[in-house]
Amino acid sequence: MHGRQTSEQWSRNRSAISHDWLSAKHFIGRVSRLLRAVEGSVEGSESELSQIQKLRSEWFQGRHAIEDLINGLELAMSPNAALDRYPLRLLPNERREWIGKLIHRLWLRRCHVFELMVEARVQLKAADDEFSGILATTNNLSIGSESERDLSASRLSALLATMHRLHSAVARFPARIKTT
Amino acid sequence: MTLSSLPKLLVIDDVLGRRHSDRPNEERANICAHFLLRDVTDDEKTWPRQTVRQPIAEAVFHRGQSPICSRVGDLVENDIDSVLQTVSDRWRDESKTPWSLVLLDLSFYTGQVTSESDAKLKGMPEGSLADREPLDYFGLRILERLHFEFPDLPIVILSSRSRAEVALQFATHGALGFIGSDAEDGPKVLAEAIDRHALIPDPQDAIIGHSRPLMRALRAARQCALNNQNLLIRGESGTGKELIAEYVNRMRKGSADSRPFAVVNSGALTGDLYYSELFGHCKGAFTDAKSNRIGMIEQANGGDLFLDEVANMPPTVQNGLLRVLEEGIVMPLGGQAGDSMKVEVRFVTATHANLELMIAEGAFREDLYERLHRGGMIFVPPLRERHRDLPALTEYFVRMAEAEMGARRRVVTAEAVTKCQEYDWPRNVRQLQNCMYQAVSTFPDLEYLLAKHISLPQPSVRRSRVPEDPSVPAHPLTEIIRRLQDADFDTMSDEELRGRLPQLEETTARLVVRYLRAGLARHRQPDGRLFLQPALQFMTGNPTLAATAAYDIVKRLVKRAHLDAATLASDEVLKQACEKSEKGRVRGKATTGKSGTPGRRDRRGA
Repeated sequence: MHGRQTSEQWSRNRSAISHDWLSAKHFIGRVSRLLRAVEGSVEGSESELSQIQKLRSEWFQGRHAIEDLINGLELAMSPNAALDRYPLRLLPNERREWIGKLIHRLWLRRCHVFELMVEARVQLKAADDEFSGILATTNNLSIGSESERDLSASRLSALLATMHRLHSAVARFPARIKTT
Repeated sequence: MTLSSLPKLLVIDDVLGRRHSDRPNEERANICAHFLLRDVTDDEKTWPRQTVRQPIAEAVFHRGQSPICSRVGDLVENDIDSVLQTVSDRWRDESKTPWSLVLLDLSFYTGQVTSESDAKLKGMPEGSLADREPLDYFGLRILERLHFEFPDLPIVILSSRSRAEVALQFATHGALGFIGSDAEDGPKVLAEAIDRHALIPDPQDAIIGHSRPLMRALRAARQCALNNQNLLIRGESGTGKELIAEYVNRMRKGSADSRPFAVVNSGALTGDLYYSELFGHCKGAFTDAKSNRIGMIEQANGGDLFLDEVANMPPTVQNGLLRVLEEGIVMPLGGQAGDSMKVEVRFVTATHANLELMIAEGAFREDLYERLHRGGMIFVPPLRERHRDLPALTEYFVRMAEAEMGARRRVVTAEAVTKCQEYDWPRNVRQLQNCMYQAVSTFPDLEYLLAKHISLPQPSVRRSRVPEDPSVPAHPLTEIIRRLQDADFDTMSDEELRGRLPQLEETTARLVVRYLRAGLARHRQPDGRLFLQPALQFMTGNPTLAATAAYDIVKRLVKRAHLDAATLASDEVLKQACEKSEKGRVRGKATTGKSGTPGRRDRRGA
């Protein structure tokens, strides 16, 4: 388990993943572009296999950031953080403790926080599996070979759908702490 | 759709619009592949581009910030002026096809490009908290300005941000829709948005032209085509209402080939004949009814029925048609209960008449009118508002005439087109067609069609200077000014002109004061105070206008409008402006002599 991030840090990371990295402009866009290339609707100068290898290395970096985000959600975004700020921080410690626990439990239940985390983990695992499948197919291929064309469009299509589901799962995470 | 007729999109986005000196913009290539867009931005000529085989649109990308190409250490700032310039370049230049649609991002990251931010996304700053704050999104500011400057420019938000956070703002500021850039069905949604909102010419070229008024009518037609409701097409005679009706029929998705389209030429029909044409008749229904006849409504069952000149419809036919619209049942003339038939027809009606006036006069049924335009109304512009379309239309009709008459193929010269553009075409496209046919038949053996070969039935009416697009108002104020400039008193009678000078003077002066009041109110502080100098700088477009000059302008305009004391006292903005201009002028004179340096208070306000 990682140390508690501030809600600002966590929100910034969420934004960086949801709006920047795991987006149609960036990672999802690259998967989509590769799929279009394999389907033949887009033609670029880079080979498909070379693009796959780039995607793989980028995925391994990005997935860890997503994992950290999932793991940090419960602690970083709980509304009991309001107890550390004025005016609630003026409450006696013992009262703050039980109120904090109560707020946290109510939040977990009301916002289905564990369900959100489980769903994101399921999609992260699914994305890992899709990647492994594609890499297994392409491991024995060399760049520029004829057989790299055999890379299955359906596999990439499945990967893209999984990435979209992962993105949706992350997008459902709260963007800010709601105290009202 | 051919490449040249592809919709032209302007994408305003900080990430997609930026440029690199040493490589292409990866994110832009991703988005283009994802949405099947052909990148036609002229900033990456040196880089090989991917080829999109069947693009749904062409896209020009604009950063909305400066510099466009940023490196570590550069300060990236939002640049609304460059956005306005880019939009204006294509929107107001008649030689270019106007933007079909603007896709606008919401959040634009500003600040210094650091090594860390550059490593994450090349050339991008980290962005501040304010950049990510929904109510402060720069995209909303762009939207507000674009909607103000170019009210009929179609804008759709394309963003990965939450729609819910800005739903009210984007609707208030005139965006037509919201596309989540990361949505799985993004390409489908974009294609639908283009179909629904973009200004695009007819891909089949059955309706010729790409002027904004025409493309607005085509857009309305596509929107109407989406539903299966009845619709009413309005426009002057000869504008091509039937072509629009065919376009609606063609644009109906999924059934373009199979959906019947029947036309009733109702202009010459009267009484029983009209009824019989629409509803059919049974043998013996009237003297000449020798056998049963199926009406046009039944023939159009499952499709569209076009009824031109609906205003000419006799009352008995109006009653029968209302029954069809209410119950979906057709009863032929002279038929019994068993002769009725259930039908499903969409009625596309057209008229050049003022139906509302006819309803007021009792000549047309209001309930029928309501039902005839339940699916919408389409206004077909007159040819005089389609200045941009004259070159293509002239060429088209000349070619058609040459082919039909076996005449020599000729070059349509610019002066011939200009002559056509300077004429008002009161009978619209039909008149243009006749005119070109006449020119070809009179001079079958020409190599060049010159202005002198075109014979117009009355002296050409020279229209305004046309510095901008002459089509229907891009801007309401532009339209008011244009109408005032074009007011032609020479053709008016003595009766109309007599004694109007005082009224005319007062009206124009009051109009200017109302403009002044609006400009002042816009610069009023939350506590109610007015700062005249910045307000007048805004209104005159002169950022260096001195405070004393501003006071003088206010005094002059108010004086010219002859506003009485009671009017001034009741209007807080004008009252304050008058007081300030009086006091400020006195103080300005006392402190600055003749130099006109602004007084202390207004300098602070500026």
